Amino acid sequence: MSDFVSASNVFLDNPATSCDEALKFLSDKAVELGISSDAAAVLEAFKAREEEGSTGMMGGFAIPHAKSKAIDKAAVEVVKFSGDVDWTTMDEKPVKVAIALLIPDTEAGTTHLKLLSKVAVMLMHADFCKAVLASEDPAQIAQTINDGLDK
Amino acid sequence: MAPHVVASPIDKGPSRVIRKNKESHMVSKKVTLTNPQGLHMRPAGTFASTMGKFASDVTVVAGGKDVNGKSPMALMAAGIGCGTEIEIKCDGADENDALEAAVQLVESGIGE
Amino acid sequence: MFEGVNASDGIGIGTAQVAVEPDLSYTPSTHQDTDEEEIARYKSALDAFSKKTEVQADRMKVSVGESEAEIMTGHITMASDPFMVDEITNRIKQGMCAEQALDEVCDMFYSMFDASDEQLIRERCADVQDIRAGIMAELLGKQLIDLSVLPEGSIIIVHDLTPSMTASIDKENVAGIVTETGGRTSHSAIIARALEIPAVLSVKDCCTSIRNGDTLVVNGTKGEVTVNPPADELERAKKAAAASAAEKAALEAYRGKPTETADGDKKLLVANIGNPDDATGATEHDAEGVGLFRSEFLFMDAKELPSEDDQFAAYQKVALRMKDQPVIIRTLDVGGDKEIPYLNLQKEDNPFMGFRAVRYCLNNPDQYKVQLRALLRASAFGDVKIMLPLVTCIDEVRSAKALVRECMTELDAQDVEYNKDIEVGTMIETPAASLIADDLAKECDFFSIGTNDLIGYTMCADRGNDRVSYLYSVYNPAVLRSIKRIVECGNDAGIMVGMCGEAAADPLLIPMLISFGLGEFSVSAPSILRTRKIISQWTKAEADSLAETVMALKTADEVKCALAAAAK
Repeated sequence: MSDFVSASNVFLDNPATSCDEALKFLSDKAVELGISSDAAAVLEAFKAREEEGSTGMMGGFAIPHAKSKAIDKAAVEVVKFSGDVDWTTMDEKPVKVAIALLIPDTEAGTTHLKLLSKVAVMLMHADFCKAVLASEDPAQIAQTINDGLDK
Repeated sequence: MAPHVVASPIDKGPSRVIRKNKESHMVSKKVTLTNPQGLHMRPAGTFASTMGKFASDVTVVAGGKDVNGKSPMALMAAGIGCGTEIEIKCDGADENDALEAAVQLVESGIGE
Repeated sequence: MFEGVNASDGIGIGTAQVAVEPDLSYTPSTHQDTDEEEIARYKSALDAFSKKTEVQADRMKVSVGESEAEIMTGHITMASDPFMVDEITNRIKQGMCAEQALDEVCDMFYSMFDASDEQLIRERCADVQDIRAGIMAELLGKQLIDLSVLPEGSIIIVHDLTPSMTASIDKENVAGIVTETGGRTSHSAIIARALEIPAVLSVKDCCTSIRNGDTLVVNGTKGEVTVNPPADELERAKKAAAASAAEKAALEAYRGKPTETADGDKKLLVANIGNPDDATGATEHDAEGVGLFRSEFLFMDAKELPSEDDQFAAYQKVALRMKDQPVIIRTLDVGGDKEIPYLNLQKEDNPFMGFRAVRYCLNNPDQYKVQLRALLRASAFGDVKIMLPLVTCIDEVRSAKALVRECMTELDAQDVEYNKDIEVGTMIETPAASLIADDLAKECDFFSIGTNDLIGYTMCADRGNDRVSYLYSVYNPAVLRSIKRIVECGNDAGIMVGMCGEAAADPLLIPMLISFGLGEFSVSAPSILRTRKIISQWTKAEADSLAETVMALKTADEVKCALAAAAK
């Protein structure tokens, strides 16, 4: 997993201010990056998961995830927002960074569970959060996450 | 039953007709309670109200104690459980009818 | 916000109806009227009471149910008892006023019922109190609380629910119950749960602190009562209440379905019960059997050791109720922390590590054999299995099985029927048992993991001690590794491994248990449908994938976080 997140999947200074806007951005980017060919389907998958329970966590982070037939390969997208994003979170603070998981809906689709759980654990560590929040370098952010996934 | 004639120990001849001790007029029978939860409120109430219709005194002997058969409270307090053998005693003008009704009621499960 | 005992799940929102019993005190005195007049006064009060009760009973037959209405007609039967009327009349003739005569006679009946060995009779004490209050109110010209005429959306606030009160509750109009006394097993709690009305009990001074007309949110699941919440909080509460009701309705889809993972692995889903009456609840909630029948109820509240016949009757009752479904009965699991005088348990400094459960039983073999024989006899009436508590070494299993064999020989000699192939298994709830699980598995017919005690003994933390309760968590790697080992040892030996602690119903933990290979989930009856649903959402592959990550984590917090993120 050490190069699961590539720098080209890290986006900075996004102007989205709502959860819906953020998810739309992530879905559109998924097509641009060749992860999927159907942005609408990806957006629907993201939204469906939010309905079940918000993926907003703590300290300004959210971990939205989409599982869909329209997703061709597992990938991680990271987006940092220029302002605050209105998102239902566990600590009721707005979201500044979204680490999104896109997962194909195949039989042996169990990678996402590992990813999800590992990312959630990473978010518990203050130095990880600080590093991601502070950095404006996509390569560095990608590396920080990859290091965390490796542990 | 005809009253017994008892010769008074003082008078030598037949004299007043004296009824013997009431005990001998009493009728009784032993039955076993089959209600699964014993004699709880409902069957106790049914038994007591059925017996209440008779003039005779009704006594239920359970666990060696005498219990007023016309009192649902007394019957309940006696805590007669399933499988307990009780003796029903009736004493009075309609004692036979009362006993028959009582025995039939218990043997039929007191409406349960 | 008030806190109390969470007695009946759910969220109820409505308007407070504070029900305060009128003051029924009187000054005991000699009656001034003639005996006949005083007796007539009593009989008139009795008459009025009987009439009012009959009206109530008729109303309840329609709105609540036949058996609840019968409680009321029972009151009339008791109040009209000729013996009772005689006793009261006699006291009036001795000069006592009717109120005092009533009081004394009721006291007498109360003591008579209280002294009975039969639980059904002891329960009638509450009815005596009800009748006393009812007739006394008539004598004193006061009005008693009538719960059957409440407006819609009422939250009842009362000191304690009497049988007549609970019997007259109209489910349609009562959204919640709050009382000043009572615990989870009190009469009020049991009725509230049966009526499925959210209830919070033992809320101190609620009758004086809450006013008629206050808007209340009663969270019976958490044990919280909020008074006049701000608009947004009320909105959220309404949404939560609706969501909880919707979830309950959605779970009905799982009724009657087999319990299996998303890829068809079958699991056994059964219930934990504490007495024979719970068995009906288990079936009502669609349990597939009983995974833990705690036998302690027979021994508590008894004045002497329950006889073999008494025990047999209770075990047989459950066996018959569950028909051909498995019923695992655990042998006596008590120690010095409980008040059971006739067992002669000494007070110990450390009862939880002391002379209790199987240790006590094996040291009192004659007594233990009474229970074992009763269990064997019950096995002729259903699929009864015997389970040992608190095992820490294999000797205990061997000794217990030897006693079972002795009992079998005795029963054979008496030509009594029982299941000759009865299964004997053990709770795994100590670190010791976990560590020797491989050996134990070879000599037991099944395991049931008692996480409640396993967590406590493994983490050396008392869940009731605020200072250390943070350590009492199933998510600790030590506990997870223990559970994994126990399940694997059992599966390797080809025996059924179940779990009867609360952890079995934990939505976060279930994928881990599926991955480890747990075969049987024994949970509280209300959790059954939800547990079935969660099991059905996971494939073995998904569960394994998650477990791989989680078992590599080092702290309980990380484990919980990872499980929460991956939860479906």
